[in-house]
Amino acid sequence: MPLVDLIYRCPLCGADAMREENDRVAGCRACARVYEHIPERGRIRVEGHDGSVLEVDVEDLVAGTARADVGEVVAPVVAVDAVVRVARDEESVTYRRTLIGFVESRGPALSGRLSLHHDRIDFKPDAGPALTWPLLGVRALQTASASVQISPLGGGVVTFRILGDSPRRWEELVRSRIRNAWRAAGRGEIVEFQPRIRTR
Amino acid sequence: MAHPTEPTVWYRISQPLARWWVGALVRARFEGLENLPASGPCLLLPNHQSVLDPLLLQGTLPRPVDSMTKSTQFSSRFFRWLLPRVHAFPVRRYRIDAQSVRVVLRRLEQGCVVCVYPEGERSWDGCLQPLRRGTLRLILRAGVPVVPVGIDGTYRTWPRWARRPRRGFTAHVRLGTPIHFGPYRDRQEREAALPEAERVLRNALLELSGEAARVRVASPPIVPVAQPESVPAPGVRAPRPGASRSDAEER
Repeated sequence: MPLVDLIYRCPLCGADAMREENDRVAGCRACARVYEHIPERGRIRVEGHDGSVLEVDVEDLVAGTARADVGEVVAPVVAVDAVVRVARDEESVTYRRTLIGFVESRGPALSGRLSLHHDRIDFKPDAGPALTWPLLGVRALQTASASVQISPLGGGVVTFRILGDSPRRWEELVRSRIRNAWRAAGRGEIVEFQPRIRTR
Repeated sequence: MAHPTEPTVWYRISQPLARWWVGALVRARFEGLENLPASGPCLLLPNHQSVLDPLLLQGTLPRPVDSMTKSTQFSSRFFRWLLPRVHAFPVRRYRIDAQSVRVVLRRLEQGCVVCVYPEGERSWDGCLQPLRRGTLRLILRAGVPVVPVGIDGTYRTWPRWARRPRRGFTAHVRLGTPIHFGPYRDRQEREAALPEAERVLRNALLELSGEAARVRVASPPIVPVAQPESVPAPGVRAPRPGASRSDAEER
């Protein structure tokens, strides 16, 4: 299988601009990095941020959490345009004077740029202060229609409506980053993300 | 005030509307409607392929169905007004929602039919997803008849990732025979019974939704191939893989 079929999008800069050199080598037109598959070791050789040559696992590279042999963390920042709504409070829903449940009261919709780091989710709105959610402070993760939702520590729910990319892909990306962040912090393996993150 | 098992006026109005709208998009075929208990409490557990599923069920089933609905559906003022009137109640999926569990148990005590989607969300690819442990615990706690419902075809009509529906497909909705679990009042008993309940329910949903049959067709049983008794002599060509027996015999 040609390497470009394995990493069709640059794992480091996120650009959908991979160029096939040959079956084992692929380059990114956007960031000019060159990836070389080493099938006998199941790894990929790539040039690190500081110019050193690193060897990383394919899965780690795609998940953005590859730890290089020299100790450098290769954590590409993945970014996308998004609309974010933060709900901190909840309202009761009653019917025939009986409480039937609670729903979150969502705040205003903020459009801006959402970026996923190895340890946090950042959101820079077009106007207003930036928002940050550390991955270690996420209590639950789910998708709702075309949105990814997280429940941060302190309650409430944050809805990211992903524009121009797949919410499914983003759910997987955020999941893998949370999984890796929790593992690195010694919290164990996550077995469930919903209704709350549960570890083994 | 009408009894909770009686449909509300808004439910009566919305039923033919839902039937008409879904009918305009997809041909619906129902099987096993007799498996829905004529009276008394029951839990309806369908697989979730599309946004059309609740409309399909509530529009057709003879008894009013109380649906556990994600809380974000109640965000707008209109839906917050309408949904409780068509027997829906909210559940916060990003936390353990004790209130929604209380509502389910209360409605079951009143003799209602309660619908819970055990996957917790719509499928992205039409395949059955892992069943939520919270739903399984609820089933074991409630101890009422559980009717598994297999829905097949709504994914092709309106998958989760599509903006618009596509017409011309047929949806099959199959109601299975009621399964009895529990009731397990003790938490330890419930935890012990979870794996078996999950296995039974998952198998039932796979069969009823036709997914099990599709898997069987996609991966037919492996038939052992008879080993050749002797290695062909040099210069004798071995039969090509896939060549018929007569071809090989002719050679």
